[in-house]
Amino acid sequence: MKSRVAVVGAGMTLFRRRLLETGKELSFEAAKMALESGGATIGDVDSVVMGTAPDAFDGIHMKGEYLSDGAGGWRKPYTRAYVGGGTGVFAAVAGWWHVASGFSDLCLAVTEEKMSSCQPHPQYAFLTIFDHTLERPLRPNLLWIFALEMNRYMHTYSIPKEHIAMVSVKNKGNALHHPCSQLGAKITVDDVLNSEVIAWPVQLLDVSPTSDGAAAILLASEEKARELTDSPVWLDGVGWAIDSAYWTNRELAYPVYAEKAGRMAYRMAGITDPSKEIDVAEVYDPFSYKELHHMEGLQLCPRGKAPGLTADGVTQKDGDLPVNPSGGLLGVGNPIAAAGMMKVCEIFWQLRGEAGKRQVPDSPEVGLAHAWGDLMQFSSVVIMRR
Amino acid sequence: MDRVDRPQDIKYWYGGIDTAYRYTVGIAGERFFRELRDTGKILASRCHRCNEAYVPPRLYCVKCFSELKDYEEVPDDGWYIHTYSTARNQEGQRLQEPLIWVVAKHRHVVGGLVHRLTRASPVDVTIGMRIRPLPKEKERRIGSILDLEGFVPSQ
Repeated sequence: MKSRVAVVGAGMTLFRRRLLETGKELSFEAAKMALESGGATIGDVDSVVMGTAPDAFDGIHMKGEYLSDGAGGWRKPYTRAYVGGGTGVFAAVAGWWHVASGFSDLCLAVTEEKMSSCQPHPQYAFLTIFDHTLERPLRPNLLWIFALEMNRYMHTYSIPKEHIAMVSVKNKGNALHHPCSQLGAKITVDDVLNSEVIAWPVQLLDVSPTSDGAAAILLASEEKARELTDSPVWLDGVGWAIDSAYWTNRELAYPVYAEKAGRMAYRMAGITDPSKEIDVAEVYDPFSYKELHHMEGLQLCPRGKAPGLTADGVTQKDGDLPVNPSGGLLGVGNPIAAAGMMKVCEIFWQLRGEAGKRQVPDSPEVGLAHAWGDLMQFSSVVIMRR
Repeated sequence: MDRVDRPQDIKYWYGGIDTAYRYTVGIAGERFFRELRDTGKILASRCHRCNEAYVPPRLYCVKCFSELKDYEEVPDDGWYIHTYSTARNQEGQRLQEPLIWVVAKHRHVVGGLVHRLTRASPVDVTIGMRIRPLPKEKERRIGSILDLEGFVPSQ
């Protein structure tokens, strides 16, 4: 019989292109903030989960172990969770395992990425994710593969680029109110459409930045949560799924992995109609089109309909289905693992009414956080409820 | 499975992972390396709650998770060899005089430094031997762990 699990604290650092702090120091700052917001100390913590993406970013192999004491893992049960870009939300899922299983009453889940170490640009680390005999000899760039997927998505549903550009406009605008954001900005659809073409149809303002940063949450058993706070946020559903690593063997216009992960989490949380029951969603948006693509996979709207809903304002902060009120990766920044956890933090703050100027109206009760990664075919999802 | 003992019998694709790195030294590291470069001294950060000093200095105490803001100089006296090895170089080549690697600890701090022992004969090295840090001349120091030549015997 599994225990109910709550999030009782959250914290994050600034997201910036290059921070002075080491990865350990970033981890410490986020972990410390999560502990303090949860009214706990490191001595109260039974176990620690560290989510951090490829070693090649920070430039140290076995970086999970390297970061451990900064995350509060010294002489504790400590586990690294790593599923590429999906790591941030997956670290929350791994924390959930620790508590739901009855193993821990209090588990600290910390995520970190220090992308600026990789020179001259973290793209060089991304080049090594491709198949070494089939793809790498062709010298692919990470942006190409997103461009191929985006073009297929636009073609399948006849999506105008203007509607996709609206995601960047919305998210960067929302991020103006996030105190940790790297690229909050007031921009227009024309700004996006006139920005540099990197790999058609991906343009500069369709892309999230590379960043340094860390984020953390504190997870508690029901008994411990009620001891620590009057306003726990329950982690009532978790899901994750992976699709084929072959580009040619998955449906590029539709993220099946997101659907699988979403349905798993909805089933656990007792959600039957996510488009009506989810009050606020943080959907993974490293590229503008991915927010839309993922909304559809997550059953927040029918296939091909997310761009139209965005154009109609439904996903605005005060719309019927607010998506990425934090500002998302496009606005807050994209330190890979920490970016996903930032989304979990945002839902925590939104459901507690602590999101300040980013707060969505009408006291949301149910939220979703989603991340996506591995070789672009993995999704992790959590459903949170106050 | 066939045994592969003639490379020309199978096809290879040669690849590499070409990345370079520029590591920030961090908040505590900035204090440590500036001090080492400018004065040749080794700094520790102190946790008043646990009454322990960390070398190299850290931003946080691993035990109580307090942020550490106070730094102090570690006296040259008090260093000793916790353990050592005599070794070939990194490529495994035999040297005329083997490298002597030590875990250098200090009576009054937590942690220590891994470095070389110089100006010592391998046959004279013992666990517990008293040693002291040897900074390079000031004009050769750049803010790196190599600003220390290493440790040398105290006498």
